Amino acid sequence: MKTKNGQTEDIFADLIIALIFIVITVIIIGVKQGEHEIGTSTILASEKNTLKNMDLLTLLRTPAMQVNQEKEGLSEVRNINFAELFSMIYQNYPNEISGFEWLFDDFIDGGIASDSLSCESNFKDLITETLGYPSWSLRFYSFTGKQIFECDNLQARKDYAQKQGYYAKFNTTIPSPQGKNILIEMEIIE
Amino acid sequence: MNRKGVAILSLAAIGFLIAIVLFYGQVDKLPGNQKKYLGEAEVNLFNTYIAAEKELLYIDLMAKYALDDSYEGGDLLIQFKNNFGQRLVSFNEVYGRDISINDYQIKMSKDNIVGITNKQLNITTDKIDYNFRPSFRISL
Repeated sequence: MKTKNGQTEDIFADLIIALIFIVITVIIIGVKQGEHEIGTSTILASEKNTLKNMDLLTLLRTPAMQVNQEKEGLSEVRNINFAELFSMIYQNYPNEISGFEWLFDDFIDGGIASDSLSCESNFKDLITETLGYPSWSLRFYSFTGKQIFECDNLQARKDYAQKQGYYAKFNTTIPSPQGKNILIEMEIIE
Repeated sequence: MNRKGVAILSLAAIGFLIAIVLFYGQVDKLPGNQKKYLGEAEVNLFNTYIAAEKELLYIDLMAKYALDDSYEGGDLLIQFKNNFGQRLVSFNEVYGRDISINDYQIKMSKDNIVGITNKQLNITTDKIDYNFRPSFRISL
């Protein structure tokens, strides 16, 4: 290109230099801004897990069903929560046989009598409806560490959910009427 | 094109680049800016609450079962205190506590039994010191 004074100037060299500056600036801002966003805006998988753990803990205190109970010679209807329901397992299986499929089975012990309840659709529906998550699993371990009950309603792939952070595992120990502890392990899989 | 202008423009551009690098390099080090993920502090608080709530759930259930065992065999309140005291041993084992029936003031009314304690249980994590009292109330 010719200037007024007749000098030749390669305007493209200036343009390229300007372009390089712009690209470098954008890269710096992009990289640094990206680092900054990770530190302030990303929601951690552990946050989701914590909230699900809250849901599982709430489930244990939520009323599950009504049972008839004899107290001082009188029969009365009593609301029991899920933690109480789960802790009934020893009443039917005092010898700690593994592979229980019945949570309880029409037993009349300690004054509590009710319908049978096993890992079937009624039990699954009860938990699914109360918990609000369709895909879950539930396991009980006795005071000796032996698994004594298992029930699940898995609608999603666990390995995928674990990788994506749509998974929570919750453990807690509850007492039973017999004085033996039960470790409850629950999972939510989205 | 005026070469003097190019020199000034280049200096300005280089200065701008240096300013950007310095700004983004130093912004995280400013006082008060903790490098934490969004909600990280809240998650820690929730987890501490969950740990405490597990213990309180155990106490509540234990009290309920102690009451169920107390209807036969004499004075209800005395029986309850004995049963609850025995079950506290299990609680102490599970959660590593040292609370006893003597730490409780247990009162019975027409509708319920209330156990009040001034003993504080503590859960300490990195930046959280959480105290709670394992008092309970159960319906008769």
